[in-house]
Amino acid sequence: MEQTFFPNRARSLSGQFRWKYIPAVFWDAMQSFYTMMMLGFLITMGCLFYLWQWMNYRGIAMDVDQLTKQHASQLYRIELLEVEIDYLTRPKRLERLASSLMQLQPPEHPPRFVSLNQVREIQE
Amino acid sequence: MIYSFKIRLLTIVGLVAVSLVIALGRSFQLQVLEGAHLEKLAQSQQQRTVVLEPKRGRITDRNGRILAISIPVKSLYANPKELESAQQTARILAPRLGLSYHKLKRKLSSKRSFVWLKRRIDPELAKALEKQLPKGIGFVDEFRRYYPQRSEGGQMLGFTGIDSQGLEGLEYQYESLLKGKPQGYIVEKEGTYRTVPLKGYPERPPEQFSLQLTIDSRIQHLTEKHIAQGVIEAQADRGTAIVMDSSSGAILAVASYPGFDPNRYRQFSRAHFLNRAVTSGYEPGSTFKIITLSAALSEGLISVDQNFDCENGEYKVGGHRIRDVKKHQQLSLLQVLKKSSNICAAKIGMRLSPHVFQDYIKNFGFGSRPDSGLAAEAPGKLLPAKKWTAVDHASISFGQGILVSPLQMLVAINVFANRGKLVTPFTVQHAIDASGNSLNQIDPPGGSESYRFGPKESKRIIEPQVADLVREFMISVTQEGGTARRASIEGYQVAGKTGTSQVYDPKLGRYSKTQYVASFGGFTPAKDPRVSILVLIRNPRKSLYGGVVAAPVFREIARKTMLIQKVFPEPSQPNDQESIRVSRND
Repeated sequence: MEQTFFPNRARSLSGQFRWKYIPAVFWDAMQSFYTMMMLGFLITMGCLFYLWQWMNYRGIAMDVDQLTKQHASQLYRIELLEVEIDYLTRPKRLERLASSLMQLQPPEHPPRFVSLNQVREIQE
Repeated sequence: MIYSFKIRLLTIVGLVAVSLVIALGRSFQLQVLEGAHLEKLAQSQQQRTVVLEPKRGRITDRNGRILAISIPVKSLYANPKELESAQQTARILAPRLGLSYHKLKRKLSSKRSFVWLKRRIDPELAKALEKQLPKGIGFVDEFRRYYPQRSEGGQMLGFTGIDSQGLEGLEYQYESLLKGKPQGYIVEKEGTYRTVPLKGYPERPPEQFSLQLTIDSRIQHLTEKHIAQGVIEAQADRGTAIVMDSSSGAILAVASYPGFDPNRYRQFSRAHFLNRAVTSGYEPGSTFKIITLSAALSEGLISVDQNFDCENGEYKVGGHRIRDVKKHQQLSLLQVLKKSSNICAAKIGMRLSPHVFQDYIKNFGFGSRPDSGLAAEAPGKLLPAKKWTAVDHASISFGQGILVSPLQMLVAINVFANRGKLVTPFTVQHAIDASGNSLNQIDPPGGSESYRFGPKESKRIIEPQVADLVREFMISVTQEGGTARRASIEGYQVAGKTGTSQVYDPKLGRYSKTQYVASFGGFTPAKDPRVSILVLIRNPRKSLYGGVVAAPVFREIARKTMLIQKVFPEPSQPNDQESIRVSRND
């Protein structure tokens, strides 16, 4: 006769789960070498998978970190160029250069822009 | 034999059991009793928090030209505990860093684990040092505030300290917006000095705001240039000029001479940092007469066709003598302003009751801060009406005995450019957040005061007819026979008023006979005002009068500002038809 883990169980309660029998289930399973092998294999595979994922995560995190730093440094470079442009084209410098290199001076008498009709009126 | 075997077995079992108990006990001690402490120790060895200092927001002018920006630089630090030899390291680094050997050695011999060696070092030097850094020496990335326009707008912008905290000017005024909040994230340390970010890694740099000002760098430059020229030519102590958009109140330029370069602020004294356009008060003198006249006209106490007796240049009020520069007998209302008679202005002012007159003065914005967004605005000083004596009343009527800031005076003059409406000045067009959105209002968390940018509502303080009449008087001031002929510009009609006021000397306890403030405030084109400008020159020695020293500065600033704003000279102006060129576009 096949031995069960529930020898004295009433028929009416045969489908009901009992926590106290869990250790017995494990003990029963441990009797089987193949089950243990399978369990060991699965746990090892799980650990390896976890490790693989963890390594992937760390690798990606490091890449992101590097890229973010590179991105920030490129942005700073662009900003530095902007500053340089604004420094080189500041009105005071342009005025000085225009005066010393091109002999240009601010207009003493600003140009007049009038329409032809207005000129006619003035002539009349 | 069996007995002996049992004893041995029991001894082994006992030893194993005792070892297990000891191991369990130790593990309980480590895991439970000291667990929290040891966990912290482990974390401090394996992890560290990296704090991302936000980059301070930039300040730009109305066209996006950078006025202030933070650029990345490197700072050198040392961990004296890790150094092999403080003496040798100091010998290597001292000449390269330009520091004294003994000072550096003292720093490197410190018992602390972190000391700054030199902050914000030259990028080229940092690059050279990076290749051969001794053990225990490292770099920290920091930001340095840089002002590409150098001294232009220095007093308005202010500057930041060594830790990037705003110390003066707009940098100080908008510190909480520009600085932003630092953000930290945790990294795990790896063998080869590598770090792996673990949690809280920020998706983008910490939030901070940038400010776009109403300032136009081109107008700022020419204002600075001409006020400097004006001060030098007049052999004066200093000068201030403000240019404002007449209709919106946007400040286009604020300049004070002598100025300072905020990049090298340590080389200047504190007096150079003051933005005298808003912080200092002066007695406005004759420019204030337009307020007196408009108040009396609004109250119906005087009329346009009325004549006033100017007492031949001398008039006694409350035992004090009031004098005019030139002697006048009878003057019309227009001539009172055109000839700038103190006696007639005092007579007109004294027709108003002190309380009514004070209400008008307050309505023009005197006695309260202009709320322009510039730092350290002064409210000025206005004696309460109930304390006015007859002399106070008379002298306030022609702009003595009242302290106003140059910006307050310009805002008051601008009322006549806006047909009786007072326009609140402003300096910040809008703020820009980290995502690039323009914001006109920011409500900081914690219920602190909110920031509002851009134009504000204007309010009517005098009737348009009165404002137009005073404006006509102001135009006459810059025409033949007026005190400010030198402010007139070919092709543009200018409205304005000169001012020459005495300076009160607290040491003497009376007005100085050698110190004066010469000023000219006005707007152009008079019929459709685009810009309002105030020029103020303190202690001119060449000439005392605003019409002589300040008016030419006004003319140069106004003329060039008009061209920048593409407002070209009108040919219809009299005496201006000689040099007309025809535009090919028309």
